[in-house]
Amino acid sequence: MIVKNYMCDWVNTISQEKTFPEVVKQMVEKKTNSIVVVDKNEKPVGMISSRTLIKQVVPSYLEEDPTNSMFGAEGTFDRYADKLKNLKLKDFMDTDFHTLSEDDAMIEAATYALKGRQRFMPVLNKEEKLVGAITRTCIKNALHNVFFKDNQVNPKDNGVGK
Amino acid sequence: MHGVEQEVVQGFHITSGMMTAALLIFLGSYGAIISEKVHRTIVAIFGGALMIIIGEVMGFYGQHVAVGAIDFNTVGLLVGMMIIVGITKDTGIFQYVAVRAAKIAKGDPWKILLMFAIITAVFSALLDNVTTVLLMVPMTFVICDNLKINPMPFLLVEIFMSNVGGTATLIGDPPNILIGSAAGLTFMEFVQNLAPVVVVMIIVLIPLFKFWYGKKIKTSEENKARVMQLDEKESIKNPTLLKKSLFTLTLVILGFFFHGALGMEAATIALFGAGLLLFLDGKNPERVLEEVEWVTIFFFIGLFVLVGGLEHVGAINWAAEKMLELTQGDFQITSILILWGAAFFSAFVDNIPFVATMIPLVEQMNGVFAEGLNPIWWSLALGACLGGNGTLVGASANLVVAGMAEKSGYKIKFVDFMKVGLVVMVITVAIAQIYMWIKFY
Repeated sequence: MIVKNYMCDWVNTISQEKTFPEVVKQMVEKKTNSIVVVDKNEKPVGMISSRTLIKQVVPSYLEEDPTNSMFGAEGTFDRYADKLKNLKLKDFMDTDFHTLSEDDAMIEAATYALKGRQRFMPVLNKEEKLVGAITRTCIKNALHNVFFKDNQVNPKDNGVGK
Repeated sequence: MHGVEQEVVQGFHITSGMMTAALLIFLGSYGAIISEKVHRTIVAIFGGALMIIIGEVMGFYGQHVAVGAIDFNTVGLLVGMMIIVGITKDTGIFQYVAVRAAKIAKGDPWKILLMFAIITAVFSALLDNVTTVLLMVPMTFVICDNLKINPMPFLLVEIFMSNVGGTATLIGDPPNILIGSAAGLTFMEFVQNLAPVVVVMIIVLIPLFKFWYGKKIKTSEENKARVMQLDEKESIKNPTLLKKSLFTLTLVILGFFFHGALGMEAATIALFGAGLLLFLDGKNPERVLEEVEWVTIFFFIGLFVLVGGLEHVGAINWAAEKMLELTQGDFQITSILILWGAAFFSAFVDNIPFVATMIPLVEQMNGVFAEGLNPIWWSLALGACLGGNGTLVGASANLVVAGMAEKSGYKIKFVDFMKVGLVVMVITVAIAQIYMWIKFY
């Protein structure tokens, strides 16, 4: 059971020069919670997830102890969101992420999906080009196909918005 | 440094080579800590280990002696208090206190500033300064957001009050923990000798804050009403844990007051409180122990090892002799020099390594003054703690507040801070000087 058989073949990408509002727009339109940030050569250089976006809008003084947010003033969310309008992706994207190659075993994908907060792993071919992605749904599909050999799900049906 | 070659310390001959090597390691580490290019804890651990290795090779220091140089009373006190606060802060009590104070002030910004200033000073006397500001600053932002006012005056006043309030007790500020532990001074002795003058400082500073910030923090009746609508009871998520935490905290503070009479070290009290609260909480201790600032603890351990090397090579003894030569062994001049010297030094560099180095130096003066050493310890404590207000880099709490403010879109500039910080420092150190003059000279 290898990554190539369970990954989705298409991935949403965005340039690292884009801004915070532009990535929000693209993620809403594509109905996705994760997007791969690429450089000019289409090489993955970062990841943005919905969590990455939320982390930017919540000020650290609230994040440290969420109890404080119970007394948060109306308008605080908008005010902090407004401060992000010119923020470039390269300045806040997650750069510490795990990538897979097409021939990697699914156990590697499962292990990294469990470890850390990465819900989405880009898959690269031998030329280091982005060719797909593994999500938690891909792993769930792989699990299904282990148990129900007569009723296999389409491994490519992994819930990533096109 | 001529003339030290023949000196014999603990059975071995000190050579100028040993002295130079120890001084180079110490000053190199000190310089690296001041430069802030490398994290201070990394410098302390690396410098400490290097001091042991060179000491072993040259024969003036070793691991066994270095471990003996670590003040486990300081380490135990810090760890114990961090565990107690780590559990207590999850109860929401600090948010409760902040919102309650804002409502008692009827949402009036100046009155809230006053309440927060006093709460910060009191918390800071009973907890360490960094913990205090970590608890106070988030709620300051929240209340200022509700009032739609600039939080900057609040942040500055909280910095000043955390450093002033922390001066009052043995556990209020790391320099005091170090001094109390090394000199065998009790919590009660700190309270008796330093708390009254700290109260005077706060009384003098409040009109100054009113003059500086009173007119800058105005808000509408609508915003005041918003604060009055906040329900502080919402923050109390676990009333059972709150009762256990308050019970333990009360016991620990009472224990501090009587630890001298009980013949116990302050660390014993703090670690007993930590153990008791962990037991009463009954949950997995891993998460609580993760909250302990091990980075700070290892900074202290590294520093003790570094200073221990310097002490064993006789450098501290030499510096103490030079200082007494400078002051001609005069008690008043020595006390004044230490008070003001410590204040200005602490304003620009970390006061923890400074005090850790000064302690053995002061110990060398034992028997020199008819007045005893205690007034010198108070001069050092007052100078080192109050000096922290001089600049933004003067104390860890200042940098923690600046960091939180910057992340929230408010930059505290070094020069802007210094303009008010130096005034606060000079006023409070001058009050300390008058106090020393009345009480001890």
